[in-house]
Amino acid sequence: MSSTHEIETKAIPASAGVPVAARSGARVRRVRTSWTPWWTAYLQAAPMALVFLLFFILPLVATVVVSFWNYTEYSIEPAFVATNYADVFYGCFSGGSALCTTFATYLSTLKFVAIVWVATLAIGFTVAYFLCFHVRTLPMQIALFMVCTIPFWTSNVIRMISWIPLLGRNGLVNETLQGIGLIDAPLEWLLYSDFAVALALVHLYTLFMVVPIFNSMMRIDRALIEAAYDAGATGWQTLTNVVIPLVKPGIVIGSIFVVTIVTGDYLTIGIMGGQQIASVGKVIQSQINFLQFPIAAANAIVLLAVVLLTIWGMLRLVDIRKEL
Amino acid sequence: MPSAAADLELAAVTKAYGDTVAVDRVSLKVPAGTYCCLLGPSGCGKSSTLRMVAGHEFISDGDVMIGNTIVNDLPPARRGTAMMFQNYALFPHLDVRENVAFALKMAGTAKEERLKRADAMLAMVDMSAYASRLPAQLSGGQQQRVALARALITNPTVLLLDEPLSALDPFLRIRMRAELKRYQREFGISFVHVTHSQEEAMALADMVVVMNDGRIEQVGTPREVFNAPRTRFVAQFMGGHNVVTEGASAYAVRADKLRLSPLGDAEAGSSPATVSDVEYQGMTIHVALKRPDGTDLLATLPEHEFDRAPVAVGDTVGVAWHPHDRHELAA
Repeated sequence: MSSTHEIETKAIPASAGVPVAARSGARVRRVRTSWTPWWTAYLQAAPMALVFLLFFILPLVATVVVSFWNYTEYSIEPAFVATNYADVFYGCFSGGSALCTTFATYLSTLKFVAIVWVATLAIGFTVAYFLCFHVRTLPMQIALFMVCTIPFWTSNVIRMISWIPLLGRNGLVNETLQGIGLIDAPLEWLLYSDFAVALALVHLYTLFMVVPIFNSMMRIDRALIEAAYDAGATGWQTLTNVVIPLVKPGIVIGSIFVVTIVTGDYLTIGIMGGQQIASVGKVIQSQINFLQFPIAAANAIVLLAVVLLTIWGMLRLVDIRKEL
Repeated sequence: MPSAAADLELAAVTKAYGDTVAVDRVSLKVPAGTYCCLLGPSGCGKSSTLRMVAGHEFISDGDVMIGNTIVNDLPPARRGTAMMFQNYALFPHLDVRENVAFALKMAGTAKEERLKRADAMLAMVDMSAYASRLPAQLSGGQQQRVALARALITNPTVLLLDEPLSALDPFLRIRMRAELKRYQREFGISFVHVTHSQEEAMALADMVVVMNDGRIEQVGTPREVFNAPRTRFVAQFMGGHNVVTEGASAYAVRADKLRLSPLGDAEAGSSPATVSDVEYQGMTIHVALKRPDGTDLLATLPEHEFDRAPVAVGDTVGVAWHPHDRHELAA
């Protein structure tokens, strides 16, 4: 694509039949490399660029701008003040022993990010490994892959709610455990708890880990596995010395999906936590409900910064370009 | 680097996939220090045979012996074999030195020791300058040398090569072919090399094993196999032969043993044939002939001999060969 608008300033070959005098001086001209005009590529990229501009860049800019505005109980005024950010971090740097609200909220969210990341990575890697190395035929691989996506055929709210009859106080799990006499009283921590939140998040987002890891794994030349075996590697050594290093880009892409989604999640944490567990997304949502747009915007920008920092950190670990 | 050379022996080795038999009771003895080529068309079972020797394919029946050990149930690393893969299968995430040291790392050799040995091996294949490159930054020939070094670092007694030259362009192929032969001499171990190119097999092998349909058709030195093909298949696969029927028997006659003469004063014993094609090959000229009974013949004439009595497409000439130039084929 770059060749279409590559503008080189080459001298015209002497055999062109033009008198030498006519070509002397600073006359140079574009050398055509294609019949397509150079701006065609930009035209092709334009619709997507426009969508990005309208629905991503502009709202983002608006959010940044609004985050510096002023607000009172009944009004929002254009301004350029840092009070919203000061409010976000109120009490955070005063040196007190207790954590400020923002840090505590982020810590709680990060706890879920860590749990969900570890769980989805472990499950996602295993599922991808099974699909890639143990399922031998392509039709079977495709069929099983479709099975993995079936939960996505319904909305994620419904998928969350369907945990309730299973995990509730009189749910299937508690009834069964009581039925076989393992417990006397229903387990309270099954629903509306950290456990329930982590479970639902893992359930919702494991596929985001499976897909990129599976994609990376399918690119591994099977001869490499044989070569490792030939060199005396055990199954575990092959996994750690060959497979994992080669699927690292897939792991990073999957991790980016999971980490960014979970960091901003408030719906799952809200529903599965019984509206009792704080999350950054939840804070922003309630501020919006109270029409406190400027501080909500400030919180959103801080969240964005945290997510971008995380992605930047992960990309430092692996050269993702190899995968694209 | 000395390794204990050992004989390799296959006894009625069979590979069956369900009802189809890929390798049918193959028996073969490769003496220590032999360059052995398994030659045959694709699907003839040569690769399956190699992979059974390597330990990458289970043996359905029969035994593989290396030295005095039956290795049927041993993993590759404990057989004393090493394999060089078709596209080299170098680990793309490891540099050249780490690729070569891989088997030592798996065996638990200390880092300093294994990198030292890898460097020594790289020096042997003239790749020291590339030790810290990644495989993707190497040319095909360089990759082959690295693959060779990686396979040889464990001091195998038999090196197995699966179509090692097929990934290279024709010029490089001939150069790397010579290198393979040289390394085999230097290391003094057996190389078992699978190929479908009779030219490659003849240039390299001390021992050619021609395979077809899961069986061995003929074993011998390249000269034996070329000059005295045992079966019609071998004569046709090796090329440069005419298979003719005289009476009840079939014979192979080398194309360069055919003599052409003008029909007017044809030499004794010649039969008529029509020239159907003339191909200039440089040092020789290929003349394709069609006999009245419909069979095809190929005569390869040196340029000067062709010039003495040139023929053109459509001419009818007398074609003859000496009885001692023909070689009877088994049915």
